Amino acid sequence: MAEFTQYVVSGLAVGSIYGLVALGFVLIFKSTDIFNFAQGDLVMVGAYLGFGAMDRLGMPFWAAAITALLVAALLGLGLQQVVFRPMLGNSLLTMVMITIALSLIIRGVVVIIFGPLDKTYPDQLPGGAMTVAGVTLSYVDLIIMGVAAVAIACFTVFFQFSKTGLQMRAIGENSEAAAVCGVNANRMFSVAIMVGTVTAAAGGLLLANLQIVSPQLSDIGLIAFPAAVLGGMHSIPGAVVGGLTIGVIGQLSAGYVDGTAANVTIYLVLLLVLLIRPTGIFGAREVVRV
Amino acid sequence: MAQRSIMLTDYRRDGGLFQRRSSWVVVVVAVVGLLLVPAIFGDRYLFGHYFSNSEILGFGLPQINSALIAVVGAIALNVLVGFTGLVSLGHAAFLAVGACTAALAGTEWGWPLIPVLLLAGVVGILVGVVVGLPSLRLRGLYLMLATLALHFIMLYIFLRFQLKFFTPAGLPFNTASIGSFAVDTEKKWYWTLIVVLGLVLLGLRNLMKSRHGRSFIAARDHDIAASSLGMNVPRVRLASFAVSSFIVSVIGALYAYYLGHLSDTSFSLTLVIGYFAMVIIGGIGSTGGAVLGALLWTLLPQVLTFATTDVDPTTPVIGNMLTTYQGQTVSVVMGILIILILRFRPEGLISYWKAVVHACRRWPYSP
Amino acid sequence: MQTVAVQPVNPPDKRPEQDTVALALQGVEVSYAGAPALRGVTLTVPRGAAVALLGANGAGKTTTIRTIAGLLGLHSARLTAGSVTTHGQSIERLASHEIARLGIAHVPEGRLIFSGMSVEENLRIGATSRTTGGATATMERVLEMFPVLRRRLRDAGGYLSGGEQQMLAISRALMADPNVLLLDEVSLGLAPLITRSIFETLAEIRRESGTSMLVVEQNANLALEFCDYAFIIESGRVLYEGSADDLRHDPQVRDLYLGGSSGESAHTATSRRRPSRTAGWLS
Repeated sequence: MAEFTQYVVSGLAVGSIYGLVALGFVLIFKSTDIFNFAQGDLVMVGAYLGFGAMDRLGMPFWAAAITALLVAALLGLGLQQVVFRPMLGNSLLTMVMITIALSLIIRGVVVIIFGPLDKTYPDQLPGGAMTVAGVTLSYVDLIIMGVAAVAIACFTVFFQFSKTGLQMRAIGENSEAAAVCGVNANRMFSVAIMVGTVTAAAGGLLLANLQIVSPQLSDIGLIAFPAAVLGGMHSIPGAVVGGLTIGVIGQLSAGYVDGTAANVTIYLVLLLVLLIRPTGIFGAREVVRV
Repeated sequence: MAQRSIMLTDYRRDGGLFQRRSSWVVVVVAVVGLLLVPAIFGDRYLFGHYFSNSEILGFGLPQINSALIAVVGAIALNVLVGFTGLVSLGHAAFLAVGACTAALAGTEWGWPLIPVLLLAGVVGILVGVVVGLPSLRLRGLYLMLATLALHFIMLYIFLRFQLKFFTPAGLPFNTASIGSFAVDTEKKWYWTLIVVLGLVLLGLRNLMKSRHGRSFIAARDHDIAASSLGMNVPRVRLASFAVSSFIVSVIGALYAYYLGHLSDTSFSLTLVIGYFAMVIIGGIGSTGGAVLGALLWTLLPQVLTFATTDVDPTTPVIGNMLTTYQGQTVSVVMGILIILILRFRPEGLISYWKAVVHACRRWPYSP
Repeated sequence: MQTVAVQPVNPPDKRPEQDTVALALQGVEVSYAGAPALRGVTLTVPRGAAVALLGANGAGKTTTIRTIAGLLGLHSARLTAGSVTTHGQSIERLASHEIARLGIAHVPEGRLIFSGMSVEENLRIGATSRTTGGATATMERVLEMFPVLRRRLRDAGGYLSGGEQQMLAISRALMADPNVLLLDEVSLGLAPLITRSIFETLAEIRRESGTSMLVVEQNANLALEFCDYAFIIESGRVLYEGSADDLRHDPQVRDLYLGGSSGESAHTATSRRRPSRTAGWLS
């Protein structure tokens, strides 16, 4: 039983990172209809940016994190202006291909700048753990969950209560109606993509404390998709819930079966969700006129 | 006066292989070209000097053979994605199925090549129909995600299969042989693959000119209208999966024989994405586009690598990039190329070819 | 076709000065991906006036509204000739959000309510392009004018009835504190009583704030009652114009657009009454 709870807790920790990444992904998808295959690569970029700031500029972790987030925001803005803006309105396949191309470019550039060897973050977070009711909770896990929760909370406040958040929700809900109301669509797209990039980078900074920093980090993108689908591709709270659920499922199957089974289980779940309820837990059924 | 444009007045003429008198010229040129390729790109002696392959454009016969395999794979993917509009990421899974069948039937049971290929095709059809089942309920993005899930699940099954019947090192394959004709040199592989490619092209052309092929396109363009005309759209979709996976399975088996050795790492998501890139760059919905895209995607990196191999490492900025990280630089360039093509020519490279042909046919009236 | 009591477009003695013109279109031509929709539309909305744009289905009314609001790009359409000005400022090259900020608010055909968001949020979005202060006061005023919205303030837009949605769409447009209101088919799908009450509220708004209005309507009778002046568009061209009174009493306009004098169904301007040929042939 203790083992089970252990897996659940570590699943929630890594799941909160998945939730953060999936949130950015769903935000981009909801607002711009772009299926961002490169979301995982943006996570990797965040981790590397943090590493670069600490390693080459000698910054302490918190300063490096802030720098990484700022650079990520600029990157997002650049991507929107240069790559996405001229391409808006193209078919799904074309947009997916563009993000795949971006993924190629990002991976190549990261290795060129940082080299192919794996990196590690210096131990920033306190090691050790605390035991509650027979369950060991490592401090690292707790801090990660806490930071992710704060980030998600900040985002939610922004999204639900601010004027820009309202406009972004409008664009995501009905872009024509939003244009009628005078919402500046391009600016909202820029904000959506920037937030998506920053949340991905934040996820990367957190993930780098759990795993080695390597180009393999971008595989987390492949987990963001099932998380988003599980929660409902148009639901932002759904993305977070989906991420947490996938995290737990992954840890449980890795613990009870084996490492490779974790990935397959997650994809089995994705397949089942798609076949049974494609709109996800929080999604609403789409009504389309023929 | 030479014929400038033709009017097709019946289906029989439309389905005919040669619709113009000038088509014969094209055929002759093509055959001559095909004959010249191994001469130019293969190892050969010329004027007493041994030229190894790879010295003209950076690729030789082995790369061309790999490219031909990719061409067939891309053509098959185009049937599914281009003609029928089904976005499926299951490509690597079908290749793996073909390879597995070849490993079992060819290596374990010792069957000769052609029965192995046929068996691979049949197994491919069965697996293809199974993989195609989600397409009956799901469309577009959701179908893509479902096939993505199937990709990972099938790879896991492949890994289990590999560990059960063979070793963790991978699957070994015998030399392919048709009767006493052993396909064991690059040149022989070249001609075998050309024959296969020719058969696939011919078969596909006939299929697409028939009502079955047209039903694929109808199901893509407007499935609800198609079913209101009495078309069994689910059956059409499964048929498309069957055709596509038959071809991919066969080429997967050939691929396995060609490489001689495969393991689960040979069938990555990157491979699938590469095939998508080929089809989209070439031009979705066009067999010629798939051919062009596949050739470009597989051969251009070789050309780029070749062209930049002798760069002086001290050249500012790009020098170090090109010497130490050549592979990454090439893939960055390929990525930028994709974006540029999609931005400025989303219909794909085949549109350039079509524009040329169009202008030639309308001469002297072209603008 | 015999001429009717039509004034020539923009007669010299009536041509208004630039800044008293809330909206002016001159020779506007628009096409959707090569298919022409507007072939030369010229109309004027003087400041404070209510002007009707009438015509049959497919005549080009909504396209005209989209042109003014800068929404052509959304529908793959292009302005190929002509000019659109507001208070003398040319706006045909501006983006839709910039046009909205100039004080032109749009109540679109089909209402386009945000069905997942609450009534209150719908209203708040309306204030996006507002350049003056006092959004809260406007919301109060709007809820006074349409009390049902206050009752359903927290309900999701998609759960409102057609009439309530129309009130919400109008209120949302008013939240932007506009000086020009574009109303596209406000009466579509609504019961006559509700439509009438909405138009009465619109008249009240006009009296209060002097907002200029361009009213696109298929219900020509109602539009001519409400508006001062009207333009009739057919196949992308403005064919008739005149004051509401004149048009209401013109026999040909009555026959074509107002249901005829005895209420029989109208023909379009391009069809003619066919002589009974069969009778002649048989006799």
